[in-house]
Amino acid sequence: MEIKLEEISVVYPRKEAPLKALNKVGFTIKTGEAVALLGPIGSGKSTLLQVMAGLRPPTSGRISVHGQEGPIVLSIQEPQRGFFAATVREEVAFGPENLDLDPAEIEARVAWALTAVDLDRDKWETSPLQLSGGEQRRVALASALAMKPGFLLLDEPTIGLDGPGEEALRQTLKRIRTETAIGLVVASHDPDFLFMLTERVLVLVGGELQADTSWGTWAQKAAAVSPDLELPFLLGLLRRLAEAGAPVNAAPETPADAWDELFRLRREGEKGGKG
Amino acid sequence: MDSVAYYPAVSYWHSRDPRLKLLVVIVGATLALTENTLGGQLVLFLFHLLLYFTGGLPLGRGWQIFKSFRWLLLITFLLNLWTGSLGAATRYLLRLLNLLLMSSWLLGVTESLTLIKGLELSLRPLRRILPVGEIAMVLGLTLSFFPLLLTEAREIMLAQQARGVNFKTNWVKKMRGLLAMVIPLFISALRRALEIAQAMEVRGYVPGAPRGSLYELAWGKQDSIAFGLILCFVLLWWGAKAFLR
Repeated sequence: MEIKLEEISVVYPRKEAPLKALNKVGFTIKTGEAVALLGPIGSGKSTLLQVMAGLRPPTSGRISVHGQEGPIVLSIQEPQRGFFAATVREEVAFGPENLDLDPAEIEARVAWALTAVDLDRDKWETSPLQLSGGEQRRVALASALAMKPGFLLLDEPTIGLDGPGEEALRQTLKRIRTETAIGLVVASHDPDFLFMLTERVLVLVGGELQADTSWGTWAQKAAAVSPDLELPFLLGLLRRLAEAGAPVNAAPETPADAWDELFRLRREGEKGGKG
Repeated sequence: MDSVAYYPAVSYWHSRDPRLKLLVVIVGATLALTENTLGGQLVLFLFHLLLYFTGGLPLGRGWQIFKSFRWLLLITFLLNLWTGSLGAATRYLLRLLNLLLMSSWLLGVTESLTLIKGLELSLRPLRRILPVGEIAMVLGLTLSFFPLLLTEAREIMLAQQARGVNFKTNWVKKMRGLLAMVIPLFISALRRALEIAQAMEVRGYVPGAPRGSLYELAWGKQDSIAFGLILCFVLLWWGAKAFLR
């Protein structure tokens, strides 16, 4: 399954001057990919996700979807504010119900999704409004997963989560990726979260696609594209070391490669110290 | 509002199909509204008490109805005493009590969402002329909005109190305090409505499109038996009326 965007523009009508939220954005993503969507506030990330989910028609441009593995589901910012069902189970069932499935299948999907996000079984019959913030986010993720999406688009999924909550979310998403052929697009301000979850980076600045690349390449050109965009901690560190003259590869593609690079540097430092 | 809240328990009526219970209420309310003798209203009152007890609802709940509606009951009684006789006044009092008992019983033994589901299925034959699915959805959303609004109201009240708004002293200050609460509450209700609409949309809700359901209502053998009993009751009622006339 793939989503192809061609020259997508979105213009919001405003009294003073129309606001160009997206300007001729184009790329293709396939299921199985995990894509980070980076960009400063107001760069059009949310708009782009809404266009991809088919919730907002673009002002111009073409979007086409090939293959039918599952729906394209968007998990909006602070999804817990949209809760309305009486119990967690009903909240999660809402999506599958809209797909007009039969009760047994809905039941099975609800159980699968709530298990996938690790929510205690004794919480399934309580009101989602009575849960803690972290648990509410899991319910929100489960209600998106229960639709068995071909693509899952997440808009700022880490807002309001603490360290362990973020870690749990990342583990869940990684597991879902190994179990199903899902495609992930994650917009976030948290470069570390994205670096550990995705392989490909899309960068939006002022509604324009400034980069569509890998993490390693992004590490090299980030500073030139926008000084506002922070690098993941590991990549930033290697970059600083390289700038200070250390013999490191400052453009590793994955967190594992980045750690290897740091360990290698340390080993060489130890050797040098002894010699 | 305890007298109209759902009362979780295991009883004969808790496990019946909501459609059946709706039918019981329609029959009970029709009889209460059309019955014009004191004796008839008394029999109905006993019948409603029977429903109440077989539904496992506590006595205190019945008393609660009496307490919450005491002014309405008293005024009805006095007005009818003034314009008619003691018999007529008692009849009207009983009629009102019968209707209140009936609704308290229905809401006590049926969860609101199950009730809405039952309503939706009962109205299904009308779906060509009525947007039945949407009506049910709106009812369900309205119900779930109450606790949300209540929580929000409490939070706003605290926030306004922290900024010195007075909800307690004299009448004028109270009104002003209320205003300071109603406006943010109204705004947040609107915002919440938009957020819920968006949350529904991203999960593929399309008004009018066919939808599945997590729960299936199953009309069981016990429901059919109860249905038969209600039918017998109505026939007996009519028979007795005709005989007594």
